[in-house]
Amino acid sequence: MKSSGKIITTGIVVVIVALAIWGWLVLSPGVSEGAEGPWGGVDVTVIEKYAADAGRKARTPLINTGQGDLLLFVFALGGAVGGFVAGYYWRRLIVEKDEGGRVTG
Amino acid sequence: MLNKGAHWFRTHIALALALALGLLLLYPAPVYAMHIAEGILPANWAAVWYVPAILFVVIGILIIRRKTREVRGIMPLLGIAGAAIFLVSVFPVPVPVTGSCSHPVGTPLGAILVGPFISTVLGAVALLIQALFLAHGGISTWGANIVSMALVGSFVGFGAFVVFRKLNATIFVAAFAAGLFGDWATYATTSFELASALHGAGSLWGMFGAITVAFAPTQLPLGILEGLFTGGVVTLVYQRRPELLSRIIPNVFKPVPSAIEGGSK
Repeated sequence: MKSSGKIITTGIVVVIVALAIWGWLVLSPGVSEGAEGPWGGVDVTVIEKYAADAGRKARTPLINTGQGDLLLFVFALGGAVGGFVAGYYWRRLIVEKDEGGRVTG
Repeated sequence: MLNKGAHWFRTHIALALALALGLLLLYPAPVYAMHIAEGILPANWAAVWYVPAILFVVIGILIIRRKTREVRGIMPLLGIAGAAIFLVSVFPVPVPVTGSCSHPVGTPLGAILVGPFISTVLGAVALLIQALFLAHGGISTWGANIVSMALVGSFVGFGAFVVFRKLNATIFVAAFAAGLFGDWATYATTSFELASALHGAGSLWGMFGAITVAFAPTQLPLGILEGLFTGGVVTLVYQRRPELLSRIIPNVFKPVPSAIEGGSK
């Protein structure tokens, strides 16, 4: 019963993934490039495109970090802080418990 | 020798992953986001989406207060889930063949690790930081982005995980399904939010369908990627600390004897 459940659920997921890959390949040629050229984000190629058709336009953010290399710096800072937090808690959660020789609660 | 190498890899995997994520975030502007930007939604529609967002965030905060008192060791899980949601949801992924970029959402993973209400709060915090400092989303559209990414991503992902586990799926397959459906549901919700606000005199469902189809070539493969990522991380955490996850979702996680007895090393 348990193994049949595993087989059925794995089969369902495999079928869904196969359909998704088929949909991806079939629909991809219809994707139009945004103003910034290929590899644009869906925020521009989809969201802003439909918003513009409806007469809406994205406004400048409240804190405009898109000046010079400021956004690059903020991304680097965010990545460093986020990476540190993830690494710190991963170590506390997994590594220190393993080094103790057994898993405890 | 091989065992030593494998142990070193395991103990340093967090550092390596954090470094890789940090380096990839150096990828500069333009910000390839899927969040709805400032000014896209009319004020009344922006306000409408704030209502469910605030409701679920308040419930989530109350649950966090209770869980931090009751569940020992939940703080590291909160830290990992919060950081993962923040990092993953600003992580631009180029999609081959399609030629566009988008990013996973991370909230299905968060929902499995800490529960859907808490994951909604973590997603809301990540979205606020992104809106304020990373030109991702906006303050007026924060409510709509919370509903699509934090709320729907968490609950659909969590629901898929529970349903697949009830059907006896393996941890990896259930978590894969959570990531897959959570990601796709997020973009379907974003499509609905846009269509409901912008359809004008046209058909709501016609516009919803058009936006969903426009998202599909990018999000179909990204959903698969999110499924693989979610499945991998949940399996890893489950193998090393199964008791932590079983406290969050009782009856869905069953203990792994080898891990409890210290056999996971």
